[in-house]
Amino acid sequence: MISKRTRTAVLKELHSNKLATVGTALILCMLFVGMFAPVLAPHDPTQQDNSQTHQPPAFMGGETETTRLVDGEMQTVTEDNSGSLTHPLGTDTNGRDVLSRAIYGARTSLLVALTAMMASLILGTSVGMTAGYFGGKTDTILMRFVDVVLAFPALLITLAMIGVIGPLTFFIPDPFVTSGLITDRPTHMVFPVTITAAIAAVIWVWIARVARSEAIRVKNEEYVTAARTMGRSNFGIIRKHVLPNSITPILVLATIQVASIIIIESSLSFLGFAGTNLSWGYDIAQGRDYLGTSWWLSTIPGLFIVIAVVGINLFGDLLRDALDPGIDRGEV
Amino acid sequence: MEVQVLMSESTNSSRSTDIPSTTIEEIDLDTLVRVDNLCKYYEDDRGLIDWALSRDPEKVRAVDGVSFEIKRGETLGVVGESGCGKSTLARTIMGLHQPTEGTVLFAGKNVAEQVKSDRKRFARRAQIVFQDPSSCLDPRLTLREIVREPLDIHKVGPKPHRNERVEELIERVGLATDQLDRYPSELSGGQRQRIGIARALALDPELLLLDEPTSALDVSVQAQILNLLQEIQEEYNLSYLFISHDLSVIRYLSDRVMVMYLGKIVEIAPSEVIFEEPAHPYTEILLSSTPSKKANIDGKQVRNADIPSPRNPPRGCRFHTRCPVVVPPDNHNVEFEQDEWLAVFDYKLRLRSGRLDTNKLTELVELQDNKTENQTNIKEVVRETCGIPQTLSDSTAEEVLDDSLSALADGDTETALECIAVDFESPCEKQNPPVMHISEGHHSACLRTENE
Ligand code: SF4
Repeated sequence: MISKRTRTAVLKELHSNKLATVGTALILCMLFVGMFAPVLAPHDPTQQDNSQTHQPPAFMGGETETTRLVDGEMQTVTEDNSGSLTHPLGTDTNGRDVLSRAIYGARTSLLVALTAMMASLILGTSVGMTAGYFGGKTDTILMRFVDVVLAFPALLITLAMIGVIGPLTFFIPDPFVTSGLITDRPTHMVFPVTITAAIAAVIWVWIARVARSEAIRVKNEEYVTAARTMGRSNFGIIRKHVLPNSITPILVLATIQVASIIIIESSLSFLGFAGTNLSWGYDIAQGRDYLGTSWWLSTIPGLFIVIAVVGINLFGDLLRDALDPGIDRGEV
Repeated sequence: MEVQVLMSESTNSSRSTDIPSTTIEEIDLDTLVRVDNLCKYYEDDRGLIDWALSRDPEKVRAVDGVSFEIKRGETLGVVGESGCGKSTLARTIMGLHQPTEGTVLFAGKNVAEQVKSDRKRFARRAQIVFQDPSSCLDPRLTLREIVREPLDIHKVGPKPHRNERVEELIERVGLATDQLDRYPSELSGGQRQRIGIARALALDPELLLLDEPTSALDVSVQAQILNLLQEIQEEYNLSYLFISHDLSVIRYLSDRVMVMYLGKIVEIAPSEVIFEEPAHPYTEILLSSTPSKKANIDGKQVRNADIPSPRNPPRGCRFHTRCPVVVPPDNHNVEFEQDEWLAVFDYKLRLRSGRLDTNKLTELVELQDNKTENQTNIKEVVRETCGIPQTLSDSTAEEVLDDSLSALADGDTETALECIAVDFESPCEKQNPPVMHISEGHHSACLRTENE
């Protein structure tokens, strides 16, 4: 599906646009981190250690004076609580390693985002293409439904769906652990099915809208009429002409939507619908009670979200710039 | 007897197997396409509300009762202003639209049915060369893929054979085979049009629809493409249905020419006849407006540049709102000089189309300095605008007109129209002009033709 011309265009854009390079690097890093989480994480993200709670990141913290009850009396004591390299980004309330949790969180986010995206892409493109290409009543009915979904806030629909379906999760064995390469790490990845389905249910409508308008644009081109006079079937025309000529804006939108998916996923986890506790949103929620004293608990996962979202958006811009300007539309 | 002869002939013909015996009577071996009382109405898309209230959508009468034939090996040119239905007509013939009424027979078989049951089979017999070279080729495919597409769809022979055929076609249309791996965006308009022609030829069709194939090209390139089309026609014994708004292009290629106006055929004749002795006023006007033939026919002009909408075409002869020789009333109450009559008729048309409402009248009066808006002034201004003399030569007519003008000045447009409805009614408004046979193959639909 990706032609040689498209590839050249992307490479050329990568070359000339610094920000795009940064975005692509960030995305690749994210993918890498998510994929090799068990190898990269220094600790088991679920391992609790009550002797090591609230440790700040390395090179931070130090001696602090606290007032507390010692032997039934209020006393001011000096405690040494400085960060160490064992836990580079500190530990949380239960003594779990923050860096490892963030790395595993990337994995959950990517798993949800990519699956939800694929599902939305398939559903949205099919519905949009059908509505746009056939038009008439088919179009009216399908698009009214899409409008209804669009009219509600995404978070509301997902919450409603979670309420109806209930928290379904799916355990996927971690290949690194099952193969015995790594020990001391969670043996399964948790794939939150409900959240993914709920997110896909609100994202596909955006894809459908773009797919529809692209299909309408392309179906009025004379080469579509030409294909019809040559005896191609409607399905054949969509597959051979309409889809390939509409795919660019759809893919660009899909890429950018991955960022919104990550944000929705984090919000849902923050609200406690995660289905897994290895998630950035969940960690932010856990840490928010300690923002005054242990700022890193919420800030670190928050930073990861920011990096992921910025990276995806930059990459989306790159795709748009590389694929849009005339090269594909025959107007060099 | 006749049928017998035809049958024995058709068994010799290579396409005899395509012809079901029931339609054998209708088949004239020279006729490739026969169009019979073809109508195509479009309905505006009904919104959900219209649908819920089951409101009927407005009809656009794009093609309205058209009959003609295309012979094997001939080029039939179809000419008309944009919106006259020529494109719709052509596409209905190609089976891209379902006719609302009437039939198209292609080699004796109904196209609409043929397309429904087996579009692929029909595709091998009729193809299109498109107007817009920037949109007729898929920008994502290479030229090779584009020309090979019809062969791929029809699975013509094994792959190497298809590629050979593509190269053959590309060379035939005057392009080099080393360009085959380029994309349409890398070609000029003329080259793209050549690719379009090669693609249309790939399946060896009998009929090519040329849908303004040169209107988007430079004049110098136009000539090359037209030459190519002419050569190809002889070589492959093709029939062309050639659509254009440009008469000079039509003249170059066509054996016969059909002139359309608002969904109807107004004149059809062999090419020389159309250009030398046009019978229909509309054809004359079309001819006078082509740069190659500047001569203004007897100073006649279209009176009114607006083409009426095909949604609501004028009654009677559809050209009467613009016709410079519209027939005067035949009821013997009134007599007109032709100039007077045209001015009065113009007044009637303006009145009818609402272009003389109160606002417009005020505006007109204001344009004339130091005139106040009173009855006499309004009447005068209206006469001036429509070019009606102070008094008409016929006293009855003058009376009728004056009544109407008075009513109009009082702001009563309806009465104003009523006053002149009967006495100033042209036969052209009342009846559909019948199609008149003028000479061999020359037909025209105009009341004037009948009178001559
Ligand atoms: S029928 Fe009447 S209006 Fe129509 S073209 Fe002839 S003269 Fe003109």
